[in-house]
This record gives sequence, structure tokens and C-alpha cells, in this order.
Amino acid sequence: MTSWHLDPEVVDAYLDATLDDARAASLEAHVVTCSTCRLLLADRSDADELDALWHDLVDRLDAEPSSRTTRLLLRLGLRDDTARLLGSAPLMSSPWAAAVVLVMAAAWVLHAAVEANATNVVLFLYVAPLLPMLGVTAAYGPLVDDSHEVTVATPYPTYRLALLRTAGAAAIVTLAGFVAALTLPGPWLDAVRWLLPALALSAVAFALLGRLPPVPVALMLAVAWMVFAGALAWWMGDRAAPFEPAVQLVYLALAAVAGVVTARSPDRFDVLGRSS
Amino acid sequence: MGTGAERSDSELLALVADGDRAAFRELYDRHAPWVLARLRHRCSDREVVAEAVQDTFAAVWRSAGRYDGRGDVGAWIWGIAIRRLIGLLRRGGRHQHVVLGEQARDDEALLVSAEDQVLVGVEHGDLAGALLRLSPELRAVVQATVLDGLTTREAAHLLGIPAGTVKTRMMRARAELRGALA
Repeated sequence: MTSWHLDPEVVDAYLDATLDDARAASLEAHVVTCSTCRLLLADRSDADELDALWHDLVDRLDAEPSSRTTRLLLRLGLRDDTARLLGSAPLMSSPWAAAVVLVMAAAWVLHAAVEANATNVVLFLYVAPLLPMLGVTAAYGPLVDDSHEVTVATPYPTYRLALLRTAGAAAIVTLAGFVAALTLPGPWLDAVRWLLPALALSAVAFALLGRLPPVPVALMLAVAWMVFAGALAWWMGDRAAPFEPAVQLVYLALAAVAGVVTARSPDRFDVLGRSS
Repeated sequence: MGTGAERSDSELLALVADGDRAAFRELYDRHAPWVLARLRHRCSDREVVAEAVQDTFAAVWRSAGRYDGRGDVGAWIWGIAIRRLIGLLRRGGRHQHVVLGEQARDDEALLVSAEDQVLVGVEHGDLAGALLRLSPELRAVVQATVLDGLTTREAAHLLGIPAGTVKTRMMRARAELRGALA
């Protein structure tokens, strides 16, 4: 606490924007921490204007329907702010959820049409691992996110926030994929064979998101996966080759490496959705 | 200051986190005036500033629980406010009109406090005078990065210039200030 305080004339000049920059800067630095001078500034501000702003604000807060997802998450016992954060993630908005369902349905139908008589679910397996990864990239970026400026300023570890959001997104998509896979014909094992590739893709995507914008990451990984899986299948002469146990170990290792890379550079995520 | 029963900002914030509207109003009354005035010094579009103030306090209302007690509540609110303003300017494709430079008048009595000495730096020469002698472009960059604590990229968005330009202007400003204070 200092015993030094601003002069009313200086505050008036500041409010009229006639104070020079150096003194304005000095005032601003002081006002952030001095409640006495904040009060002085408040007393000399336009009370009607602030009042009007307040009433608009209250109307807005009252009108603001918390999203259905947020309410559901609250009911599931999540903390209020966590639920709001997850609920405001783009994946939770209905267009995104609809897109995920659509892709999932398309994979299912495609599979059913092409492989009506097959006993495995290879086609579905190729598409499914991409979905959680797409969920991760979508849940991260500013492209689709309206609230990220606020998020950036919030003293909530952005790294944890990014992880929370993307993990939430990945979990939901994975669950949807799992249910879809179970309804497909074929052994139940097929319903889980895409999970490790999905985990690896999601983990690599998250590691890359600290360095690159979401859209290139999503495109790059989608192409990389398709090329890799296609090439392996062609080379081995077996369409199920990318899902054999030995290859699954590779996915596990890849996910572990991506996890380590991410954990070692948490400050990469200081600027969540930094580029536009 | 004399009003011992007054609740601190962080106490208010804790109440706001529990959905206490009265505490929220008190917090608004304390902080909205200076946030509004300060944002106005960053952007001359009154509507955008009003929206930024509302967005800021809406965010405070929603995320009061996420204030972790580190640092001043005022600084926390400002961090939200300035980024919200940048977000609005960016979305509108508008750039800020820096309210700077028109008033490079000389004033003898500089404001000095124990806290502000760091800023005004009277012991080390006339920093205020040196600041005022900077060109408006350089001063805007100093203001955004040093005083508002923005990253290079955020400053670039606020000022509507490339990030590289922010860096080079900051270097020039630093060199000029060093020269002026030497």
C-alpha cells in the first residue's frame, strides 16, 4: 500500500483522453493495484453509462441458456467451470456432433454395402481411427472456437485445459465409434482393433497442436494414416495387416512417444489456439 | 483504507463463483470503470469497447472459480479485457485506432509513486519524456507489450501489424529509450 494517490484533475484528464501517454501509462499501472484510486476514477466516470452496461450485462447473463451439454455434464457431477469449458468446446456444439455422427454412419453404411458377406470389418477400421483425432484437432483450435480469447486470459493452466477439452472430445467420439463397431457384423474383437491406431493418431495430433495450427495437423495426419495403412495392406497383401498385433505395438509405442513429447513441453500450449 | 469491513476483491470473487449477484455487482462497480476507461485508450470505437467490457465481466461471472489467487484480481480482469478486445477487433477485421501521439505536450509534474517509479524511472533519467519522444508507432508497441503485458502476437493483433513488425519496432524503441536515458 502506498500513501501516494492520483489527483482528481489527472483522473479527469485521463477519462477525457487528454492526459499524455506517459502519465496515462503511470495512472494505468497504479490503478490496477490501488483500490482508493479505482474508487476515485469510478466516482468521476459516467455512472449512467456504466449502469446501462451493467443492465445489458445482467440481461445477457440471465438470457444465456447454458448449453444442453453443459447441463448434462453438470448433472454428471463435473465442477461448474469445468463443465462450462467442456460444454463450450466446439465438438460439443451440435454441428460438430452431427458431423461426427454422419461420418460414423457413412463408414458403417459403406462397410455394410461393400462387405455385406465379409466376416471382418476392415473398411470401418480404416476410417474409425481418424475420428477421435479429428475430434482432438477440432476441440483445440480457434477456427471453430468462440471463447478462446477468454480462455487464454484465464489463469487456468492452458495445457491442462487443452488436454481436458481434447480428451473429452476424443472420449466421446471413441465411445460413439465403439458403439458403432459393436453393431457391425464380425467378431467383437474387431470393435476394439481400431482403438490403438486412434489413440496414436490422437496423441500425435495433440503433440503437434502445440506447434502447428489444427487444420494442417488434421489433414496431415489423415493423409499419413491412409497412406501408411494402405501401403502396409498392399505390401502384406492383407487388408487387415494394419491391425495385426505386431503393428498394434507400433501404435502403442507411437502414442507413448507423442505423450512424452507433449509432457516435456507443456509451455507449448501457453497460447491455446494461437494462430488464426 | 478506513473501511475495515470492506470485502477484498478475492473474497468477492469467491462469492461470485458461488453465484452471488450482489458480490458481482460490487466487483463490477469497483473494476468496470477503469477497465472501460483503459480499453477506451486502446480503441476508439465505443461500441466495441462496451462489448468488450460486457464480455469481460460475463467471463468473470462464469469463470470466477478459476481465479487461483495468484496476482491481483485487477490484473486478472485486465488480462481478460484486453484479450477480449483483441478478439473483437480481430473478428470484425478491424484494427485498433491507437489513441496515441496527439498529445505530446510537456508536463513538468510527473506522477511518481513508490510503485510507479519503476515505470516512470525518474532515478534513471526522464523515461516519461523519452517515452513521449518516441514516434506514435513505437510508443504503441511499448504500450502493448510492456504496459499491457501482451505477447508479440497479441500486440500484433491489437495494433493490426505483423508480428515481425512488432519485434523490430520494439527493438528500435528499446534502442531509442536506452539512448535517451543514457
